This record gives sequence, structure tokens and C-alpha cells, in this order.
Amino acid sequence: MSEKHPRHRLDEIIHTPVRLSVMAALSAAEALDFRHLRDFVEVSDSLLSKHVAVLEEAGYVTVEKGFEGKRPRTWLSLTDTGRKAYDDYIAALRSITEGWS
Amino acid sequence: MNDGKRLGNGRELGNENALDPAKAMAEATRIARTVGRRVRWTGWVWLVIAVATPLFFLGTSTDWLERPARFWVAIAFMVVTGALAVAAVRREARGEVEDRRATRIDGPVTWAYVAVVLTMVVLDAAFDTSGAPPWFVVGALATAVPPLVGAWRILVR
Repeated sequence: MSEKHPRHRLDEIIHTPVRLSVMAALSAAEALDFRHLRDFVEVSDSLLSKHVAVLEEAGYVTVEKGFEGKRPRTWLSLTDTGRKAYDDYIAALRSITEGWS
Repeated sequence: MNDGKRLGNGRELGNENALDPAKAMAEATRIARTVGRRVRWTGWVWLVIAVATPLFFLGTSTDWLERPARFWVAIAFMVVTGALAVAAVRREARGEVEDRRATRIDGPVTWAYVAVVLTMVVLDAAFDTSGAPPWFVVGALATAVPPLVGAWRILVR
């Protein structure tokens, strides 16, 4: 066997249900509001914070806090590293699901 | 945290069944599509407004159309804008995901659109536009510029 199975390319940081959902959602936008993302992914504040911290520590996600008028906002977005990691992860998944030989 | 470990490297085999690859792929695709559709929604709204507004001015304030047709153009415009307003309120109430790009663009585009539409309303009231003078046609088309810019900034990435 000259080539490793594509499962070796599955990034463990992304390969969990919540973090995959977060990465997939952020991949489709410039930046998403924490509150809306929490409701979309259907998790609690604390659980989302925990997973976002993991992604932030890995350099995949940036967190920006600010105000829009008087309304506090926390924007989450993918970094270039995060976007590449997500693209690689999806490519690995595709290799597995479409059959690896 | 990210020490480069990957699934299947021995120590991580216990996690391999945590997320089935086919299910993960399906879920990632579903989420990306859903979020993509929702964040583009505002762009489609601006595109509809960009088309509807010049048609409204040209269709109702000039004699290009017969009187009954002008009435139906006005009704259609009201129905379309009313439906969009209701949909926008429902989206806000549901807490739909918002892209930062759209929230940044919406304010300036809305103000520019309101300014150009109000200008056209005033000019329409002050002058006879039934013959569709060139300045009025240009002005009517200009009402599409702010929403077109908004649509382009949101839909074209």
C-alpha cells in the first residue's frame, strides 16, 4: 500500500459533531454572530464557547467582540488556516465516502 | 491542543466511530448550504428591490402603460415590498443567522436607497413625468443603484 488511507487526514479538531457544525457554518459566511450560531447549532452558550475555544486555540477561528449600536456582538469567523483545514477535512471525507483505493 | 494527531493514528482510534464519515459529509454539506442560503437572503432581497423600484416609477408615473396596468404595477410593488417586509420581520423574530458582511452593508445601502427614492418621489410630484422625460428615466434607473450594490456585495464573494 503506497498511500495512506484518507482517514489519517481527518483532522481530529474538526471531526466532532459540534465543531464540524461550527466550521461548516462559518465556511459559508464571512463571520457569524455567536448568538445566532448557538441557536443554529442547537447547543448551549457554554458548550459552544468550549468548542470555539478549541478551534480558536488551533488557529482555525477568530473571535471578535464589539458593539453594533448599543447591541453587543461577538463575531466568529474562519481564519485562512481554518478555511484550509476545513477544505482539507472535506476533501478527506469525500475521499472516504466516494471510495478510497 | 493541535499537536497534529489525526484519527486512526492508534491513540485516537477510540474516536473514529464518534462521527461516521458519510454522516459527517452529509451534515457539513447540509449546514454549509443552509447557512449559505440564509446569509445570501438579504442579497436576493436587494436584487428584487433593484428590479421592482425602477419598474414602479416607470410603470406608474409615465404614460408608457394604460391606466389599469399602472394600477396593477402599483399593487404588485406593494405586495412584493410588503411580503419582503413581513419575511424580514419573521427572520428577525426567528433569530436567523446573519453574516457580518450583510449587517455592515444593510445600513448604508438602506439610507442611500431611501434618499434616492425620496428624491424621485419629490421630483415626480413636482414635475409632469407622464411623457417619461430622460431625466426621470435616469432617475428611476438610479433607484436601482444602491440595492444593486448591496446585492452584489452580498451575493458575489
